[in-house]
Amino acid sequence: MSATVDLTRRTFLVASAGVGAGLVLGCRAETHVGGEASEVQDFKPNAFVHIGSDSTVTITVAKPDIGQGVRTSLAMIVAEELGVDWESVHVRQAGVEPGVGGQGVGGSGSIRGTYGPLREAGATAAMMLQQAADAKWGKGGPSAARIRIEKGMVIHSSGKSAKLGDLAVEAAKLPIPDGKPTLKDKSEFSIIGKPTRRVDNKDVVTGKAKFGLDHKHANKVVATIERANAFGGRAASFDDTETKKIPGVVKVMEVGGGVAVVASNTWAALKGREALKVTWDHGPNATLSSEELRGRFTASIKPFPDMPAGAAKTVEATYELPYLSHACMEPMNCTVHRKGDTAEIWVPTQSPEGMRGSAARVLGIPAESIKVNVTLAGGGFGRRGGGDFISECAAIAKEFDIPVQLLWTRADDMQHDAYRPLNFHALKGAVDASGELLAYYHQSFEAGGRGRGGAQEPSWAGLRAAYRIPNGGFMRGRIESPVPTGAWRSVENSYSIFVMESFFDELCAAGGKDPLRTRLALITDERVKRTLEMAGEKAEWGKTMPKGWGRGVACFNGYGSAITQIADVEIVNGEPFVRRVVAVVDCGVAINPMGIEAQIQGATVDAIATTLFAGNSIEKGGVPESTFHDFGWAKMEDAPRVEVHIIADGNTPGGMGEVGFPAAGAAVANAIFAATGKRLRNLPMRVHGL
Amino acid sequence: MAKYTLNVNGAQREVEAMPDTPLLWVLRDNLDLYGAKYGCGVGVCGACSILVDGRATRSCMLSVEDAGDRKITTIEGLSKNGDHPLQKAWVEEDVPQCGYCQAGQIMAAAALLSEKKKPTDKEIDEAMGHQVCRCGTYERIRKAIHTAAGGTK
Repeated sequence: MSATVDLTRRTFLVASAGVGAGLVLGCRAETHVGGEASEVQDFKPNAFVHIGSDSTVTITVAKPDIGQGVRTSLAMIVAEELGVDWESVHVRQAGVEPGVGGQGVGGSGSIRGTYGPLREAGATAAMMLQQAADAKWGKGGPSAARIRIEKGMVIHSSGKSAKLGDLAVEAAKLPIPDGKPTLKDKSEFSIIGKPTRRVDNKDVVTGKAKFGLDHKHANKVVATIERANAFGGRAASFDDTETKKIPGVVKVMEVGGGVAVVASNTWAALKGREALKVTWDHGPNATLSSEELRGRFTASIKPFPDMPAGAAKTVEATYELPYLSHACMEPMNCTVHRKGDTAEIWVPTQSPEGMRGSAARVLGIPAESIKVNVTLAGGGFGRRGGGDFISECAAIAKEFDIPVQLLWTRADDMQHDAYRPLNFHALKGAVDASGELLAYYHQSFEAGGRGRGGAQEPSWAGLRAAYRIPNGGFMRGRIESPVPTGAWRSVENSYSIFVMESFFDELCAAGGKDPLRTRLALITDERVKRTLEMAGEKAEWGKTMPKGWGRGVACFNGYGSAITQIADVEIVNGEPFVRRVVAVVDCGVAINPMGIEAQIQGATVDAIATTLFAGNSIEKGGVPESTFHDFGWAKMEDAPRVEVHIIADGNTPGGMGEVGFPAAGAAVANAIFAATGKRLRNLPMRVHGL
Repeated sequence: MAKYTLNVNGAQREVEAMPDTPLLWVLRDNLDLYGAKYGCGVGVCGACSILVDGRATRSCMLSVEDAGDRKITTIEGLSKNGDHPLQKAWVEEDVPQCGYCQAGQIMAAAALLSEKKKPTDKEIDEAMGHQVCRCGTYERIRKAIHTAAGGTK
């Protein structure tokens, strides 16, 4: 269809000319499937597998890739059972399509939720090819080894061979077999478990990869929206006299309480927006501040139960973790093209069906009449599940018959997010005379805008801790806040685990106990225990650290995986630098170890960034931070060496997108304590200090 | 609106734009070169980094008027076949996660390598210090720069 496709077809990714090349698999990205003329003959036993009469193997990935690598890992699963060589596989991104199951990505569920179905899709296709081979060459030889597929050829155990495309044409005539196909034994895997590079690497490094804003449209318009700074505010009126003088500006309109400027190019839209004179109705929250929210928390703290008999030392602490913008590298955007009673959209998203539904509602067009193009997404982290930006864009696109591209600026993106909620914690615990942990009580309050979080009149419930501690309780409450909140990488685990793993350390320190040995003694989950043991060995826990250094440990169990992270921190001129993190993750089955390493490395840096540098505050009812500068982010020098060790001796793959986040921040805070004796309880450190 | 002749990736390109239009939007909107990305628009993230006369430059901060006839190189023009040592190293080390910042990262690294054949970790940290990667691929970026430089690290 385009030069890009031709090029990717030809430039098979033989980039393995380096270290460890033999271990690494290559594959290519593909955007479109075969020619229409040959459609009748192509082998399409299900929505995931397509083998053309020209022998081209195309695997459809139905989940959006937001950086978690599913375009590679999900295709690997299908290719494994299909029995083709990975190098020959083309990967195609689905729009919204039947037969592929749920297409949303979140909760680290892409692999977990589709491992079985994708294997079956591949295996069914393999079974039909085998049947076609049987018909051609007769049954003979051991069933498992009768045919193998290599470089577009099917090779029979008798030595006979045929073009894959020719056999695929025969297989296409067979009925889809009933029942479940036989799946490979783990020991037979040759693709799953092999470190494999991203299928999109070549396109990314040459600038050809298409994100939301990168599709060429003849004759599109670009829209940008000026919104009220305060949550709940709206434009009372606006004067667009100056805006309309900017060459290229074609329309100014009210959208969702804001004012949209639409222009023939991006700069005209941005300049036109700058020239607007808006009179704001700041709404009911115009005076809200972080300080006021903090006051609501302080007023909400409930009394703690009496500490048990035998408590020799008690520890009390409060923690505060800020609102967090998702700060996706690619700000929110999408393109909507209304074409009479149908439409087409281009969107970087975590929810293709949701985007189509939102566009359909606003455009007044049935969802089935909307074609969805799922682009690569410059990060997601939970943000791109929401449909706010597509609804805005559709509202503008209703007024046009050419594509409308909506661009959120970085400031829009940071100031109008669905944030990780601001959260506060009050804790009390005790150790006995010999330093054993005796009690752990934890009250957690989320500043909840959209009902996420706990009850308004909370009460003590059983302790939700990973450890055997004789006395304890947990209370989850909510304080009122109009700031919109949403899922943010690892959701409540992203803060509750930071607090639990930090306060556990506080109790260890109060009892004079070793944080790793105490965890090992009290941890209830065997998988976590194994990661603790292995991390301790790999990091050489207990070895004396140089002066000015500290080491901290934390662990987490969730999304079907278990992890321990051990962080080494060096204090330089009073500032902590994380130098090394040892991570041991048990993910049951490792689909792509290279991708797993990337996720753990990335999540660790994410946790370092949000522990030390990043956070949003509230002033005058809105978020004042407008870009990476004032939000705060980790730079190259802040990124440690992250050594990832994978345990994969299970039968079910665990999630990888989020598991690397929750414990990493606590490991860093615990290391800072080990180095300095100072406990980091209010995040980020850049704002609150040590 | 005014007409400009830009020197982009070795070719003379005619564009018509408002004089204060940042080069980023001229590249993307006028020339269909989408490799340089919009990340912040205020010069703090580096996703739009390109080379201007060989120096790493934020294309969101340089107007088309000020670009003049200087030599502009975008990721699309860094090499003929995507085989610049940095591009090869980026693939080899499997650097990208979401990929959005990586063209800018590579352009900043290209400027670094043109000045320092074998940069140390510290030199990399300094030169790349204002290239944001939200996914946290920094460790692999550093590794890829060393790989491209033919280093052993």
